[in-house]
Amino acid sequence: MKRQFKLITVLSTVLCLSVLLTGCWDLIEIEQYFFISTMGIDVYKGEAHVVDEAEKESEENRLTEKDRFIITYVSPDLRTIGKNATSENPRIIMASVSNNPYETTKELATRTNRNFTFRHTKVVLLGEEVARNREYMIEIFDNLGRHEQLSRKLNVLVAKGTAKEIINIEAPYEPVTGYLINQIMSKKQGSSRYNDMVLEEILTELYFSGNVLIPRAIAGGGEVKVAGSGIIKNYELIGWLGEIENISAMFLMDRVNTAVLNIEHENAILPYVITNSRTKPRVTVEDGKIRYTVNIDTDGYIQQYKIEAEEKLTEQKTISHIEQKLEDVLAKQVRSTFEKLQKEFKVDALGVGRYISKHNPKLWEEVKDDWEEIFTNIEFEVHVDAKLRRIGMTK
Amino acid sequence: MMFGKDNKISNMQIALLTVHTIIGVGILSLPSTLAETVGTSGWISLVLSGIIAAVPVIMITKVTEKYRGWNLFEISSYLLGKTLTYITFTLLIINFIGQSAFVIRIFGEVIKMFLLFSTPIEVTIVTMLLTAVFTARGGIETIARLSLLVVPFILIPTLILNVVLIPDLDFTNLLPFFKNNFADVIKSIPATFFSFGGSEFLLVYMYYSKHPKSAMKYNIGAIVTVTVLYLLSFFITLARFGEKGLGVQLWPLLSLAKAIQFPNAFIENVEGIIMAIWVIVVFTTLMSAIFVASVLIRQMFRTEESKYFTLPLLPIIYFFSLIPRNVVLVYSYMQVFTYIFGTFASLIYPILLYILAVFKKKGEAKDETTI
Repeated sequence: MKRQFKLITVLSTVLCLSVLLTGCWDLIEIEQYFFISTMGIDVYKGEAHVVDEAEKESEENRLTEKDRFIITYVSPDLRTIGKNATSENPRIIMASVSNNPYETTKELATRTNRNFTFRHTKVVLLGEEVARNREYMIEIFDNLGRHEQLSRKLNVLVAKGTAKEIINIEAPYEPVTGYLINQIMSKKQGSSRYNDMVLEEILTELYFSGNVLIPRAIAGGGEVKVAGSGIIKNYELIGWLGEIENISAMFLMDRVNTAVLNIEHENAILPYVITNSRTKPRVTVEDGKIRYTVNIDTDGYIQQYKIEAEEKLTEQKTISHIEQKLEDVLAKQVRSTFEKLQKEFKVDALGVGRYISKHNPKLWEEVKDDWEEIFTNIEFEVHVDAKLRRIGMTK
Repeated sequence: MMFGKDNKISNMQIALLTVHTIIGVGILSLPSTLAETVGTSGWISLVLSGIIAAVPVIMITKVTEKYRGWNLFEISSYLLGKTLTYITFTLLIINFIGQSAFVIRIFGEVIKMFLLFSTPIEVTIVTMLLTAVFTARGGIETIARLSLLVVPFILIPTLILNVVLIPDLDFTNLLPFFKNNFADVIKSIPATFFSFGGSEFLLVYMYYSKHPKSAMKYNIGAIVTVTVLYLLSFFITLARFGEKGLGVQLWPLLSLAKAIQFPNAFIENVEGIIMAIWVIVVFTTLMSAIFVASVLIRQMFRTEESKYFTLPLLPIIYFFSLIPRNVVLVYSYMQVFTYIFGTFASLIYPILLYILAVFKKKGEAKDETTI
């Protein structure tokens, strides 16, 4: 009896194990995936689309909203990797019209042979027209924050023109658009001509006020360029900051790592390479007027002067002279960008309000309700302390 | 018992077990709840709740020390009388079962969302419950040893991840440190306090203490540890997301995992690591709850072994865990549940016992050797 009982126990255990140990139910092999690296979102205006032929038959019983977006996915083609590569094309572009970026996956599933994963998505490109529509923007950014697969280190960019244009460019350096843009924006020897904010930082600003500077991507000449910023006011694109203006904006937000500033001295152009920069804002109230003061400290060196110059770089007097000029130039640049945002666009996209709410909560309680109005009237002051540390290899 | 002769554990182990018990799924949502209700002064709410939570802990330690060698049923029936003890024990057991059900449901939801999309949530829940039940069968020594054993697996990865995270943190987000909203802080304390729920487990654990006399500092230490860990998680998530950004998160600690990126590393997504740590944290909470519930049932029915009661708890917990229709309802049911049963178990009952113990003439403590 006891032996029989033991036998039954062993048998039932084995049977249970065969159910439990048959492997992961969620198993999807790596080659069965499309690793979506880029997602492009454009507005669909009923124009003829590549895949329209296949989708032409209209359905009467369709209950959901009509198609609003053209969604483009880019994925690297894993078949090109390895010794016996079976494909020449390094990337796969898929596009479809649909109501939202995730309906697309199901629509594309009728035409593609692999599973989609967004865990390694690097870049989301928003077409200009999408960004100019507040309704679309609040939906899309809610989605980006809510999606459980997307990394919060994602680069979100606004495309000048359409996202599709940019995605269609096969850049010589890296054909997969997502990796290209991500590598441009995260490389060490970067530039302040682009805005390197990632999704997390953009969302923080958006949750606070709905205003933010969002990185911009431009297509042109067979290359993808990441430069400048789109100005988002209340979840709506209202204008652009150019490359040079973007440098000033980066100074104001204390995001500058390296930058080059050209100044003229003795009829020669001196490139001042900034190796380190710190920005300290301060808010004071004088006679009921809010004054926003920004102190910028920069370290750097001169990379070019001219042979046979009269004022030698080896003299402290020359150096102070150049430093003085640098400070004037930078202050002027920064001021004009700030005033452009303040007077022309009337938008606090630089986080002045957020700064006040953190460092002067009492003042913030007073002004937060009409901040948009008050911001356009605050006084702005900029002090630059440019330090010229090194002069290169020659005297 | 499989190992150990006297079925006793050290005070250190009790403290550790308490820390593991208290920290469970609450830590996932706590920072965002605080940010939403009180903003940057959430830390005040945490510190105050920690202090309040220490009160029942002190009382429990005093009571169990006074009646050392008595188990909870004996203490309770001596102080409250038989009938009331049966009622309170029923309430306590419901509380533990409810807590387990809540923990396992949130666990299932998170796993389903992040890791196993096509595995039914029922399977995840039952698998986890089976493991916890199996561990709880092992008795107090097993769970005490296990809770010590997993510490390095939790601590080391957490430390590494935090170091990686530091450059991304913007500590000015912690400002203003003192916000002028003390009324809100007071209002938020009930909700925060329930993140410290679990001190009632000490009522059972203390019976197994080798040296109940010196337990006080360890038990206070456990509450302090929990408070510090909660504070850290609040500060880090706040520094990362900002006040508004943190308030909108459902599970900020998991969102934090998505915001971590190893510099130049082959690992792109570290959610897997965070999830693995968190599975251990949930598991320790779950096994403690099941163990304590089984011990209480055993004491109530005055039987010898409590391990026979662990497995029958499984279907009950499983059933309760699947009642709420969605994750929002899970939280709102749980809130109502803790306001009733949680308050009773971790506040009213210990205070009641303490007051009665102070006023009642000291009963003769049993000699420890006769247990």
